[in-house]
Amino acid sequence: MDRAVAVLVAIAVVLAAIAGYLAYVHQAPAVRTVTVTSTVTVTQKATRTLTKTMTKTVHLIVAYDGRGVKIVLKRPARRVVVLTSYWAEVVTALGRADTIVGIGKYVKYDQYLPESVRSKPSVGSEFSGVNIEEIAALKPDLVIMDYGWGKCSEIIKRLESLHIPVAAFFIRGVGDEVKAIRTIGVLLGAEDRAEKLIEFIESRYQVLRGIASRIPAGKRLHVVMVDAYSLLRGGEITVYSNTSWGRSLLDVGAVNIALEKMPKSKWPKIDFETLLSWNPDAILVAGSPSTVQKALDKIISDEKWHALKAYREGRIYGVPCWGSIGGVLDWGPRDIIGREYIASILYPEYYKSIDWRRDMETLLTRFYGVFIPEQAFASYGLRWMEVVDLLGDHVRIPRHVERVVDFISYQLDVALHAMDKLVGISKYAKYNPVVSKAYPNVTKIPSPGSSFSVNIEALAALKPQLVIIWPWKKSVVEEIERLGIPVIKVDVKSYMGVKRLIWLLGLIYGRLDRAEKLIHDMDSIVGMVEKRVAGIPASRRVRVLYLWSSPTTVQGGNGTVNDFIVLAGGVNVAAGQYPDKAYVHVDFEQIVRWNPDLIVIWWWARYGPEKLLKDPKWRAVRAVEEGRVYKEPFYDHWGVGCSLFILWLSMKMYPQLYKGLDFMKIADKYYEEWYGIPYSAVAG
Amino acid sequence: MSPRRGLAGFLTVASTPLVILLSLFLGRYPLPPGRVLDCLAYALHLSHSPGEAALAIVLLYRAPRVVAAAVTGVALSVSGAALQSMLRNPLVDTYILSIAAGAGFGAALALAFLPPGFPVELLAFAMALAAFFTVLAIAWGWGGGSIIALVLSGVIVNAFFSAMLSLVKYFAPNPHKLASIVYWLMGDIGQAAYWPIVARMLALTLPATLILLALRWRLNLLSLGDEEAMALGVNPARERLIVAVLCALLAAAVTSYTGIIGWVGLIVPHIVRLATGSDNRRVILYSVFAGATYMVLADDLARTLLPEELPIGVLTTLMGAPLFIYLLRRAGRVWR
Repeated sequence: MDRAVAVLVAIAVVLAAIAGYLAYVHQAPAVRTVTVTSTVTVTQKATRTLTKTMTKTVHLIVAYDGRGVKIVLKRPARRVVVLTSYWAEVVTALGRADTIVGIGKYVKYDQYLPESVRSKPSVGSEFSGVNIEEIAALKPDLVIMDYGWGKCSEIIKRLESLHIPVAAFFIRGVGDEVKAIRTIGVLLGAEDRAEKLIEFIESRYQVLRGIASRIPAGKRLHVVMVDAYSLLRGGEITVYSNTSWGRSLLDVGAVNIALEKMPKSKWPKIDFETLLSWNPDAILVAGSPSTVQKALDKIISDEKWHALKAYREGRIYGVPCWGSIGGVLDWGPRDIIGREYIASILYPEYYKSIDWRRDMETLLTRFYGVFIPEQAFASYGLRWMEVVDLLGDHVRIPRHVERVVDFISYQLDVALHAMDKLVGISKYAKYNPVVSKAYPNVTKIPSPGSSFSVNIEALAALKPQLVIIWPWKKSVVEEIERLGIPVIKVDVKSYMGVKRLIWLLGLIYGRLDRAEKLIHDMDSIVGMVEKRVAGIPASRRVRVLYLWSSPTTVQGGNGTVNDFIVLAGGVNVAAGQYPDKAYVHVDFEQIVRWNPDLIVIWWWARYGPEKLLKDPKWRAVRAVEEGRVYKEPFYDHWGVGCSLFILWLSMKMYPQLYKGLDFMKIADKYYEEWYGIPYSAVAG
Repeated sequence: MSPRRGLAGFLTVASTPLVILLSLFLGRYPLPPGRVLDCLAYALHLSHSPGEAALAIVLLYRAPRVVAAAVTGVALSVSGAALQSMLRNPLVDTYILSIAAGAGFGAALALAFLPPGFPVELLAFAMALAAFFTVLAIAWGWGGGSIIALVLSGVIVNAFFSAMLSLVKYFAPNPHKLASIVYWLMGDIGQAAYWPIVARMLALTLPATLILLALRWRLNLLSLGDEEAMALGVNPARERLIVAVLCALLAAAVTSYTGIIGWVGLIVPHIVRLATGSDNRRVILYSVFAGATYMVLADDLARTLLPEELPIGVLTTLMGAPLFIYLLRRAGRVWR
């Protein structure tokens, strides 16, 4: 009998070993999990006794961090302290932002993170040390952090002495990144989502590597990536060598000179003479978006840099990094986007198929749950930056924009405090109620025409660095482009489109901070509306008709107003029949057929509700019969006021949801904030 | 009158009430013919209400719209026919009196610069007459009321007011107003589908139409040429003045309410001539009916042809151009 048992046990052990090996092979080596359940299914066939001993560990979560240290949790972590912003980004991207209870000192500056994470208590930093007692007081069941630099090893030692589980990582490339995400996914019980994120990263990485491998040896650029801050400070220059960023150059098919010369160092410091002796083909200046700009300015003004081949050949580029908006390269999920950026900027001819801005927007929308569109991101050369306009075209404009002719978005220029940058404006601007009241000096800005027709010579005489226009007529755009002036084309069809425009203007004018705050304010109003109307079933949604210049010119399913009606919780009755139209001239009988519950009249219309109310045939329409015909209080669809319009629409649709809410008071305060004039000064 | 022409005349007259009645059954709102009949019966106090929506559609929308279209057609056709015979020129229309150009300029002016409460049709009407009186001043003041003076002054004033219209468009304070002007210029009978407006249109056009009908034998005299007319005891310059004033009033009255509707005044008299011969007494009389029929049919198309409403002015011109070519080919013998 004993022998038989021994044989069975031996077989069980062998099977378990095979199962373990299979699990090991199918997963990345860093995460030798875990999922004891898979072992159990195999062993069950072997013996019962063995199953019994194994079931004790069934619910344990086992993972290995970047150091190879085994982490065992009884259940998915619910109270997590993250010491750096990129690990907070990973936790957020895995849909577990709510588990974060404490953050490192600099996490709050990461603008890609939700406000709820950024406002968590700070426990110090890896750079200057953390307050261990504060961490302990938060009772974390997991701390996620780096190892290998700053005070990390000391922090890890002290945390582990308190038996607080620590997952620590150091990233040298996309492979490390993927392993880290997988480990964190396991520890947070978010494996599925982790695999989706990994799929996002790896698929792009493969495309990148595929293209890189096709770049011929003779075309491999010798590149140095320098730290913008050290360059500004003067003295020795920090370069990126054996780190994720330093190695990113290899990923895209370039040669990192620093890595060749000093393969052991992570962030070696070199003096300018060394840089001169390396004489790289290209130089990447990495740092926060604003530091990068300043460093590039310094390179232009500091003549010693002009001796470099990279300067002469115009191959000095900025790489915006970290967590302020516009930052592309960072550890964490954005690492892959940063690589795409570097690839596109070093080898534009090879990486045409890659669109890093769009990938960034996708990553942020799909995983971070924030809408920061491609229009918020620029790539930087020594003297230019490249942005994407509302038509999706890439436009290269000067890095410092001081002379702009704006034919269309001048109302937002007021809100972004950018009117001083306008050397020319649409001839319609001075008639705009907001612009004329909020910026009376508008009459002093010369006007070379409008989006409809431009006096090309008058425009050229203003010497604008760029022109912002509604591309109503292709020939007008082309005429301006023939002057060599970059043209930003603006067309807005939705609330999202308005936000894209605001980001783009913020980027162009260097007012991203104000743009972000404006969008935050807009979103908080629209968010409130969305929350209130969320519970209304489709069958009870108010059916709305929006009338333009005549009572039979209606808003179809295409355009901002249609989107606003939907966001306000209503149904645009004309959208089904005319999904692609913004303005449709319909027959009155069509309106009777739709029989809308609510009619809203365009602010600029020459008629008001009384025209409909006094004409007896309109009584066949429910909205008129019930007296629910309103003229919108003001027209500001492509600007700051669109959120107010959404709120106003929703209040007219569902007054019972907004009891006690004073629209005019909200609107006045909001307009004061953004235009410096009360809403009541222009509305009504 | 030949029997064939008599039949054609009868058909023309009979077509108008028929088309008007049938048009009440047409529209985008689904109403079975029975319901429409119920509405009509209700209007004559013969039955109970067939429902609010149906009543509004038939009695308050289709009926005034069809009548407005008929009135517009009558005014444009009669004035076109009168002018053609008076000037002995088949290619003229009220545009020669600069009515459309003046009305367009007035409407644009109101739409661009006047406060929303100001009635657009008022300024359109005023400017149409202003343009017309400029034509009169040039033609009768300096040209002695000759045909060539009238045609030339018409061309001049037309060009002037068209340029003024462009200027207003250019200086419109915002593109939305510009769009309203463009829409107005394309014409829309729907905006006159309101009984009080129809009543006003009738009040302005009915007397002028009746007077023109009463004067129609004199137009025959005028069409003989000035010398013959004088020999017959008619002062051609004075007669032309009276006819021109009446035509201008007719065209201005409808254009200021409906916007610019081209080619009706040109086409309809030609159709009538082809059917009934070139005797102005008949042409003007039958133009009343043919004009109403033509316009109501055109507006029916505008209302029902596409899911969205077609601008009537564009439609009549689109219909008019090929029709005109056809008529010229067939009617060559009438005018040769």
